[in-house]
Amino acid sequence: MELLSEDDLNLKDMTWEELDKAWDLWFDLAQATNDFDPPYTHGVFVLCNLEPRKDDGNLERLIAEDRVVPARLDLTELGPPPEQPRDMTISEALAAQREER
Amino acid sequence: MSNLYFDLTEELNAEGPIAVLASGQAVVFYRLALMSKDGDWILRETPEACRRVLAVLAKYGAHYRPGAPLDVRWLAGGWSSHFELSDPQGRRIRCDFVSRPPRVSRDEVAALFSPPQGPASLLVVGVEPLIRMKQTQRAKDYPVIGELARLLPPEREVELTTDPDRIIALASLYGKDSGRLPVRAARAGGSREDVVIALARETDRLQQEDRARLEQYRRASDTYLHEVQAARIGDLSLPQAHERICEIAERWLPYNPLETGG
Repeated sequence: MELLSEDDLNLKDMTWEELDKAWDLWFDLAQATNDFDPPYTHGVFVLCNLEPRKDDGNLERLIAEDRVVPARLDLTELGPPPEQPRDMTISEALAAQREER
Repeated sequence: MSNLYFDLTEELNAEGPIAVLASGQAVVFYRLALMSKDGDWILRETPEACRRVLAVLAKYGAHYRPGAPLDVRWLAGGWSSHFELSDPQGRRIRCDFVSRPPRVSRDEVAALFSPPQGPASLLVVGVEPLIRMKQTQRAKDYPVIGELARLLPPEREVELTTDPDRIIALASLYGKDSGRLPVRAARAGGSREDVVIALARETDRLQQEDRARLEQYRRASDTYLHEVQAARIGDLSLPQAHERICEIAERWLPYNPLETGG
């Protein structure tokens, strides 16, 4: 199993500042999967399966705190993504920054 | 922009070394991958360290997640404590603490708080204890172990790597005294397949052992976790939650399920 992607392999060559920026960007993007993360990744509760409380009330609380926005669109009608030029990888972006300096 | 878990580690240790960064963020520190969304620390097993962590987390509005109280009575039994907060950008931050990580001796844990590289550096778990912590029931941890082992001297790498090609490459020179079956298979002139099979058996054994250990904690915490949920601990401020979760734990959570049989 290949653990390291092309961007991962470049981590050793980054400065601490570059590593911090790369991780911060990755952490931003990773927020998108929060709802799908397992409840525990480490510790002794990883095998525990807490059933959601029936009277959880979390959605109501979020609405009351104005932290929930009603959906405007229907994802089933979204269609395929538009054609985009290839995005720059993190490694390429950092290499470009170094050249600019 | 910076790694907020690195920053939090420094803040936790600002009054003295109490929290050693471990698991996924340690893998980031060793520049192997941009891996984990959560922060995991090995905590010095003292009431003062627990108070320091709770004070810092409370400052950032953290809440308890279902888990053991951050209290030495339960930490000493191998339990883990779990918290969640948001950063100023609204990003989810999860913080997990243990004081007795699995497969790391008490002497090794004590040594983590006095690193050889000096007090100025970030307090991060060493590669070998990190590898042993990652010998879990999760299959995804084993490729990480292989990459971590590459950071070790060859005589140690051959004892810990999960990469069959590295075992084959290192066994003849560095595996003479190894009791490890994949290394012995390589030294005995076995095929690559023999090494792979021995490695797979070893990995499976480690996974089963960890799963059996965690199963004891699961059985011991079942009623407790439901009581914590019913008490809506996560909705309370951290100081209130800590008092309440300790009350619940005193009633429902055995201090050490591995001693009491769960």
